[in-house]
Amino acid sequence: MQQITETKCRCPDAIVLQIRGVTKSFGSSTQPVHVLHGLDLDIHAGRLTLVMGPSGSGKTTLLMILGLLLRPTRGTVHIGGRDVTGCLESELPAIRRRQVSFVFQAFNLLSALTAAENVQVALELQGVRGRQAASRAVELLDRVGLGHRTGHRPAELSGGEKQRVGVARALASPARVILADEPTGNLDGRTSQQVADLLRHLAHEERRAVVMVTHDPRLELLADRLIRMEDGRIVEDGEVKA
Amino acid sequence: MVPIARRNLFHDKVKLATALLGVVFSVVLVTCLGGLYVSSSRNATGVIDNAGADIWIAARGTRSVDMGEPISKRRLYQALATPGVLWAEPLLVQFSQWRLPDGRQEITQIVGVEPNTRLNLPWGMAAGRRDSIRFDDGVIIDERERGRFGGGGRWLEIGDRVEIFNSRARIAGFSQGVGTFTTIPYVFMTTRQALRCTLLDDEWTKFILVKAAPGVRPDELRQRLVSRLPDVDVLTTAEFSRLSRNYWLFGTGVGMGIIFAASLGLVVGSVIVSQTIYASTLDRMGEYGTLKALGMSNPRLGWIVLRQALLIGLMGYGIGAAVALGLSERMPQWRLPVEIPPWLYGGMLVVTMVTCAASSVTSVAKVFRLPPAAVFRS
Repeated sequence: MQQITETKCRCPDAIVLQIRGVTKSFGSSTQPVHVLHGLDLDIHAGRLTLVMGPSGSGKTTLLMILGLLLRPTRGTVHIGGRDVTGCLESELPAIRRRQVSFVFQAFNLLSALTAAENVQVALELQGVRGRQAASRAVELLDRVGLGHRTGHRPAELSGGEKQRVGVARALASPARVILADEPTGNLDGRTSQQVADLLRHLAHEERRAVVMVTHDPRLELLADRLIRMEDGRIVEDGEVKA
Repeated sequence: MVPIARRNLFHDKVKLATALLGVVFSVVLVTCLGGLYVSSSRNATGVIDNAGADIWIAARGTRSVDMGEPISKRRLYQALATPGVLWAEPLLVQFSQWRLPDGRQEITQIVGVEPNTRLNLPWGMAAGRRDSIRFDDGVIIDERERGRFGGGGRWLEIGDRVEIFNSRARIAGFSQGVGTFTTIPYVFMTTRQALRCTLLDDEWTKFILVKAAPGVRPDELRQRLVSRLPDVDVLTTAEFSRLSRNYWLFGTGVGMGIIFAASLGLVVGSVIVSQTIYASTLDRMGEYGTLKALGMSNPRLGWIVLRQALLIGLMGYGIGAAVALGLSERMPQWRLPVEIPPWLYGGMLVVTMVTCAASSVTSVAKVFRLPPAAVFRS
């Protein structure tokens, strides 16, 4: 049975992502809809952090801000020790390429490309070219147990296999932060467990910071840290002890 | 590099086929109409451009070599007496009727030249000699007309006896590539024979062609002739060529019709490509959003979309140009003078690529505006 320590995480690992006083509002200035209310958060390398909460609690918005896909209305975002809050829009793609990678609920693979090519595209975005990119893509697929499916297109893969391609694609980036939005949401129980295990393994073995948004309570067992959100606020944040 | 554009394109074969159809249709239509325009333009001025004269003297208000009014032959002697004239010759161009062996009649355009003419008419020969019209009522007609004017499925041969406007004539040779704007064929003969085949008498001609003496500029000679011949039009070859071309292509509306139809083809083709690229871009918006989230820049994403349009353009052009080439070789048999010069193929390639690139602008803009956060909403 897991137990959540009701204190902020005091991990020895480096802080790779930090937000302070982050607020996000949508809509007009006269009738704003506040989605996040002054969040403070430190994300550490080598940990699998679960973000849970009911629909509309602001989990995905938080993930988008952590992934530099959305700018906060107020507050700061530091990534890799650098304050990126005021960066120009044109600077963000390069920062994203180096600092964060994503795993999506709907896999978001390019349907016209094979599994290996999907990973290769991510490698090419990192500047790896030609045969080196192709062989590295196969290596990464092999690491997630898909070495035998490299030439298959997404339509020819099962949900679990697609998600493992998504994880391999995330691994193509040197980013220390992996943001996963409901990565098991479209998978059956057994496959969900496998993908979550894979992400936990990456966090621990590769010292990456994995932040996973999920509704699945079974995954709490695997997490190192659990953050619960309600109405745009963090209502619970602590270490998970098995 | 993973060829994302090519993979996307070939992944959806129905959309690719639709886009290709649009480009092929457009390329074939525009190239063939362009070829029709080029050959019509050339045919409208073939006699003028190839006769080898520097100055044309014609009745007042003459707008085309095919529509000349009679002028007195005295003008010939006045021209010859003008300083700076090397030689001058009358040229008779007049519609007439050719009676086929079965009694039916075909309209022809008689071109009468002096027996020892210095004019380069006709300017291309397929069989026989140009000067053979001097002997025994000889006439020259284009080789493309051999079937049509032979009558009863028989092809005309050199030496055949024919009847033009109740006068007997003999086939002395066949010209090659000599056509008219109206596709009514030129029949070359001597002036004397031409007078028999028309209702004109010997005192009249249609044009007087003048060659400037060495060292005399045509426009300078033209001024001298204008002052001596005030009641006729005196035009340099370039002026008369332009006048004749403008008359046939724009005065009659034929040229504008061709340009309009070609433009329509271009518009239809670009709309099809534009719609296909746009639909394909919308289909893949989630994927483009993913690439943005992974850190792909807008220019690189835009290039993927643009490249798809350019690939469609290139493939469509290749197929379309091959079809146009095949059609242009068959069209003369259907009495459609289509001549597609290499520059027209080159120009069409540029037009196709530019049109396809322009067709992708909306799609590229859509991808540019796509917020990377959209990836979580797809």
